[in-house]
Amino acid sequence: MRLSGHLKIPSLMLAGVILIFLPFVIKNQHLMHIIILASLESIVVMGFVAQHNLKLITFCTAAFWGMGAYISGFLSTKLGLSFWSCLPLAGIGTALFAFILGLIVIRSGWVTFLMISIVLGEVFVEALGHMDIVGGWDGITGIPRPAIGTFVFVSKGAYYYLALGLTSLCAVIFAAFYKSAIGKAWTAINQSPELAASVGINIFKYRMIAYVAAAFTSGLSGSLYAHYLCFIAPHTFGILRSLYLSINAAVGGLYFFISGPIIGSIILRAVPEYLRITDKYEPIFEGAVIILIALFFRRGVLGFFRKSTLRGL
Amino acid sequence: MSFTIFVQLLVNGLVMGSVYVLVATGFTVVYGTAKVMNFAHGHFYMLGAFIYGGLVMSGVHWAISLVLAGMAVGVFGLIAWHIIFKPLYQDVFLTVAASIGMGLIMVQGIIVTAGERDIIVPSVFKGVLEIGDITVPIEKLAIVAITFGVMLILHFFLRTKIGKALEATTIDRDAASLQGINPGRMFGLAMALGSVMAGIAGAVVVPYLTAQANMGNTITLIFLCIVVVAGHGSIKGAVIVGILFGLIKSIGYHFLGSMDIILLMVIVAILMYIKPWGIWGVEFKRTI
Repeated sequence: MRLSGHLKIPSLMLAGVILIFLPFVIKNQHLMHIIILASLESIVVMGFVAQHNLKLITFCTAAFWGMGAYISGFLSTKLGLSFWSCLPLAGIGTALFAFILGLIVIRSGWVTFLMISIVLGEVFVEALGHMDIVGGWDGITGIPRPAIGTFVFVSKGAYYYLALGLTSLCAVIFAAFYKSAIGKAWTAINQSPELAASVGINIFKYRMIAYVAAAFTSGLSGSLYAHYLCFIAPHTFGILRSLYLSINAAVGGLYFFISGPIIGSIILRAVPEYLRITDKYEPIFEGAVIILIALFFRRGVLGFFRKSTLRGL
Repeated sequence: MSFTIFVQLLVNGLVMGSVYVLVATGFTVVYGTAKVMNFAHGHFYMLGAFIYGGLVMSGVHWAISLVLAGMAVGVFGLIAWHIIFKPLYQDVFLTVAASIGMGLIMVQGIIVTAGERDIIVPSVFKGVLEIGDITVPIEKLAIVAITFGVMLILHFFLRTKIGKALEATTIDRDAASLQGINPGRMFGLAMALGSVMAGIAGAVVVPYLTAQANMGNTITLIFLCIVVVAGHGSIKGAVIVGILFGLIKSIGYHFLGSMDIILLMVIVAILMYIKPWGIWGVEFKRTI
């Protein structure tokens, strides 16, 4: 929701104070777990929204997330690096991979990009499953928890502050992009790629920036995910996870670049937890909900508050 | 590698290639005309396999079952078009999300109704063709022959008046509607046509592979790669690349086992780097 100028700073500060004191209010450990996972997911969804804004619709967001998790898990279990050096390495590694991949897939236009992203999402899981060096289908277990000196992050509260810090960092990165000249170019490409190209905006370059930035933040998020759960397996990062992540974006509102992903992720993480149904019919229920959201809930939660669908932070 | 094994691999590749051709052509017809990316297309193929299997096992003649399976999947595709794809028209992200959701429902629906076991359908063509010391089951040749027949029917269908209207809508929707063609109806027709082809592909492949609830996932990867390499909307490209990928996959499987998909990915990446719009693709202005 875009707030008017003089209300923005105080409301952000209020939100910050609430978020900082949240662990003292919520005593339910399971709820804290949901909030941590939702904040990690919201980072990935921010990347998805940034790409969607440039007409790059991707269904391998979970694959980049998983790549960050696997780089981090591999480095910390096999090479014994600490979380604090794994975190940036996971981000940089994922960004590098996205850069090389982007040279091939972005030039082909968004139709091919979309199709190839689905193929990549499936192949990523298959390839990890057949790689014995990262544990195959069993995944990596026993990933060490982050530690500062002798203090080890074990409690949900400690992880909450870590996740909050990372989410704020990624939100600031994306907000800085949207505010800068790059963000102006992104908006131009969003409104009309042809027109943007005609005034000399290099579409390939700006799409590449969004693609690599999304991969970098997803890698960071994946790294913390691996060190939070201490266990990762290929199936977590399949195409269905990407679908759910993109649905988070749709529920939050696709044209709300930072608040939309956060709100959508929290809603879609929290609501299914309290709506347990029989296992056998669960995929049918999920599929029906996705179709219903797509048909009748296109503007998202935040879309109800603001009519215009152009841009907002 | 002896010559006999090589011929066997070629035949297997041709069989799988012809199935890929049917599915990829179906997808490319739907995308080319209606501009709908139906990622449940692979699950339509699965649905065709199960309908055919059910009909044959309850004693219906195989040819009637084949036609009925194709028709049923076509009607299913038409219903999906009217309920899901038409209201979401031109909203690409939500179309894709809804189609994957529909695939989820279809797979689980089949598991709930038909059980989790694979369904083995007895083949109708028994016997083998022997040339020297090479033996080829008639069943495999029948798959290739049926594919060829279906593609021939599609070829002649596109020469009729309604087929020409379909092609005109593919080329330019607005110009076609100025000539009195109803584009909405043509989109529905394309959707039904593509679904029929997916259903027939599923039906012909059942005796060769078995009917599994998640057989759509594997083929989705391959037909997407075929459509990307061939260029979206190109039927000729889909046929050539489909056969080629069948051969590559069959020979790759012989040497690499289940990592053959990596070989396919490398080939796709190289071809995409050389030809970003696909080999037979048009450099769409609309798809920047």
